[in-house]
Amino acid sequence: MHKYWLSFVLSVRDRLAYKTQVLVWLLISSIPTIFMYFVFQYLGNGHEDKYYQSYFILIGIVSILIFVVTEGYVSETIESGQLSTFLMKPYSFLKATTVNFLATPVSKFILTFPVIAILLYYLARLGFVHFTPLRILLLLPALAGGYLIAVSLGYLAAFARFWFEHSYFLNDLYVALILFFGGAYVPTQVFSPQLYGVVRYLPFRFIMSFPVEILLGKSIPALLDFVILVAYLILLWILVVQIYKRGLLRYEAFGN
Amino acid sequence: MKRYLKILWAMIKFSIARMAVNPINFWASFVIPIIWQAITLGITLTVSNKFGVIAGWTVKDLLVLVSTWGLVNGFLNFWCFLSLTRLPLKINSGELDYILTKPVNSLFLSSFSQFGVNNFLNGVSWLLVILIVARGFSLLAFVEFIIACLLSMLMQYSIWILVVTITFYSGRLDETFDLIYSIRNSSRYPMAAYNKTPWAFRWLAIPFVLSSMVPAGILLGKIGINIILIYIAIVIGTTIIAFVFWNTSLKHYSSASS
Repeated sequence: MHKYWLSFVLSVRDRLAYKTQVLVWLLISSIPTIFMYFVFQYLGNGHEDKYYQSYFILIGIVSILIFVVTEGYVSETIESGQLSTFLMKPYSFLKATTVNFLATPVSKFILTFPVIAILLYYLARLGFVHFTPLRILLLLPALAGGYLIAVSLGYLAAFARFWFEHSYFLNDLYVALILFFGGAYVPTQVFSPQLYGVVRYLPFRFIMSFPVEILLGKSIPALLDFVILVAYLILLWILVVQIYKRGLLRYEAFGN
Repeated sequence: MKRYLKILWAMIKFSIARMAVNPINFWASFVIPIIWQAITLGITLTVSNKFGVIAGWTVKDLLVLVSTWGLVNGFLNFWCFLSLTRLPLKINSGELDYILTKPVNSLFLSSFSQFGVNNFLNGVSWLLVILIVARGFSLLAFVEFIIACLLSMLMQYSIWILVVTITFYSGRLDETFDLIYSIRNSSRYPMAAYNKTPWAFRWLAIPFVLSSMVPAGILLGKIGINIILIYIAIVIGTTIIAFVFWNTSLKHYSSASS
């Protein structure tokens, strides 16, 4: 455990060393959310505009905190043969990478804490967000679950590299699905009832809009939503471990 | 002219061959844009079903607008986007020498050395959506629409050239490129929908919004002649500035061995 903690601390330090780069990338990745914030403010037209403002601010904060794209790093590690350095050590690649990627949202949070604090204050003024103790208590596992689902989906996309020479298309695919079905471009509340009925059971919603629904919804999400979240966590992690083991059987390190 | 067309055709064949090296990625590269297309259309339908008419644009109008956005960007991605994204690296590493020493216009070779072949079909599929959705337009309106789309591609190409040319003066460009790309992808609504967007962001989005709004407006009969003339003036102005900036900036280029 100690070695993973050390690895995590070093990863946070690494990312904070490039704080300007991180902040610039954060701004660029926030551009679509910023535009949607103002477009939906226009569309809300005095009736729902404050609700949509609250939604996109929360989506922006949630995507800073838990939306990480692990596919690029993991597939590059497999492709270049650097995975061998993990296999030779008493060090689980999956655990190490999952912990190290946690450094990304932690470092982003540290760097953007003043902005997040201002946004949370503005949200409280808008009056649509319910900062009750119960909702905040439910928010924490939702954020943790969303992070683990995002990481797991990234692993699954990256492990295709064990079988295919190039698997970049899977990265595009799963990011597209997360951004749309996760409510990054359009609030899930705007979806038709039929579409929302499907989206509710997909894993993508838990990465983005589910934590937002906890804070913004008229009532707290049903127990069923948390059951679905836990079910996906178990299912995806089993898939990740099994596919990883099978992939390792085919793995040929660089130099073989 | 004939020589340049032969070079273009050779580059297209090379791009296809290069893509086909990996069959799975080759076929996936055609499927993924279609999925993005479906998602984009899904977003448009979801928003318009909820809000109805947006700034005077009905559901059908919005589908034509977003399809025009897809068509312009699809063909632009086919023609020059791949080449332009790699150009800053060539400038910084000195590899631009290999282009400058050839008896071909440097901007031509820099812009059209690699084609995103999969995006050609994506552009065609967006055009099919337009033809299905925007029925009842005249042949003249369709010809004007195509011309307007070509002007939009020219304007966006000029903007990309302006951005890329900055590399001659400053090495760091990745973020600027991604910033512009991000803004381009966010510009899929009518201009009025950005009225509440602060000017700091809005002025960046205006060229990209216009590049889909003007052709779609022409096809649907929603744009007046004065807007069209202003747009043509903007396109011509942007293109001239881009070409002059590129030619002037070449003097600031120092190759790897200098």
